[in-house]
Amino acid sequence: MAKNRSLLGEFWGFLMERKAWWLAPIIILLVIVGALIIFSQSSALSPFIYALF
Amino acid sequence: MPKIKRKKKKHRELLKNIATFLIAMLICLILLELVSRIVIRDHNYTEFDPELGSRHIPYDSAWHCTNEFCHKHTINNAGFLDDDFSEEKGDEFRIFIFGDSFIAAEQVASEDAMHMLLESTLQEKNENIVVYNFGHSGFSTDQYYLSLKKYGERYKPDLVLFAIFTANDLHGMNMKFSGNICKPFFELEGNTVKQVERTCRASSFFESIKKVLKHSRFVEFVFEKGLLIRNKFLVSQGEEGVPTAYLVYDPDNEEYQNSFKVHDALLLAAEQYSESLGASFAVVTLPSKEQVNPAIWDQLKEKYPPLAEEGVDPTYPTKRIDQFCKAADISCLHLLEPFKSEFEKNGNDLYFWHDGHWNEEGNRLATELIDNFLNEQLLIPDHGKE
Repeated sequence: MAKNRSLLGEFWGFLMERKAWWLAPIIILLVIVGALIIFSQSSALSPFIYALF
Repeated sequence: MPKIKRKKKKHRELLKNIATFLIAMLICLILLELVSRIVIRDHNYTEFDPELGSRHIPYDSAWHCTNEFCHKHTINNAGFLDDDFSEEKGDEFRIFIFGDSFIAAEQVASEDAMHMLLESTLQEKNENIVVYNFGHSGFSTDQYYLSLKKYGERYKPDLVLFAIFTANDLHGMNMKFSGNICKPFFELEGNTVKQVERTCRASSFFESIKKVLKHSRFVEFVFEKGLLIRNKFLVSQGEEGVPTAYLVYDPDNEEYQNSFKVHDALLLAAEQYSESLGASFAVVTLPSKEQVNPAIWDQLKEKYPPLAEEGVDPTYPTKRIDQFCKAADISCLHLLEPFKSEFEKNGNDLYFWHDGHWNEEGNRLATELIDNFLNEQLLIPDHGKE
């Protein structure tokens, strides 16, 4: 956890230092897409619940 | 540097940074949209239907792909996965099959789907027999009944088949389990059923999202995955950690006992309505993979210990519906035992392992069993005579 925080902290520091704001959307969207793919994976033992409205 | 100038410079810098961020975000979204259009072939061809909860968009088409299969399907003129339906009826004998995703059969090529195989098998004996597939993924018995009422008069059936998927149809029609889904529900009123009056608050929100989805494949991807995650969280809300869908196998579960009572009344109402259209009515129950394959049931018991308690029985929903069919004198075919025998004898996988729907072999076996049932029960006209 501490490692993660320092990684995020380092990244934030890098953005501030280099003013590389164009990098932020890439990271944000990558994290969103990655999380969606990982969390939406279903196990073979999941019951049938359909993604309806 | 004077204070005002410094402030202005800072302000300009901030605006520059915000603009950089927004432009980068826009470029990323455009790139993701392009990648989505190349990589993702799936596309949602359903839309909200105020009467049924959902409907397929006529003439729309899409790929349905997972790691286990990939097929393209096109929706017909009436909004179903079948050849076009006709309101004009000559000498045809029309069999309507109402069901969920097992009947919609998006997991196999259309020529391997049960309704198609059944139609060609029946036509070998009588070329006037036509099978209409009213399957819609996610539907339950209440929606089969409403679909029958919506399309019955228009397309004039001679035989109505309700294909009940015992693993989740009773879950889907219970407001306590599925009330978050924007769909119709029924409740008992004496011995009959009455539709619950409810407004789907989500409809306008989802409709506006759907409008965006029509244009963006990436937004559609995010929306679909989001729904899957939402459902995952809903599944985990079962008693003692057991997904509520699996409690259907517990004969002592009161909520499911209520569902069964409403289910009985819905089947009676569907039979009466079919008779009013001059059609026969029959029920086919479809088993789930955990009912057919004992190894999967054992894994579930290990994962959810309450399922290992005495009395919990994977064959219970089928037995319960069978009792009702006998009492109400409704022709019923249960695919559970023949599916189990086929699995035990030949070890044939009849389901896609991860997806859980019938594979080509499952569709073929279901066709054979339903064909035999229709002939034995004299539910279809004699060979070429009518």
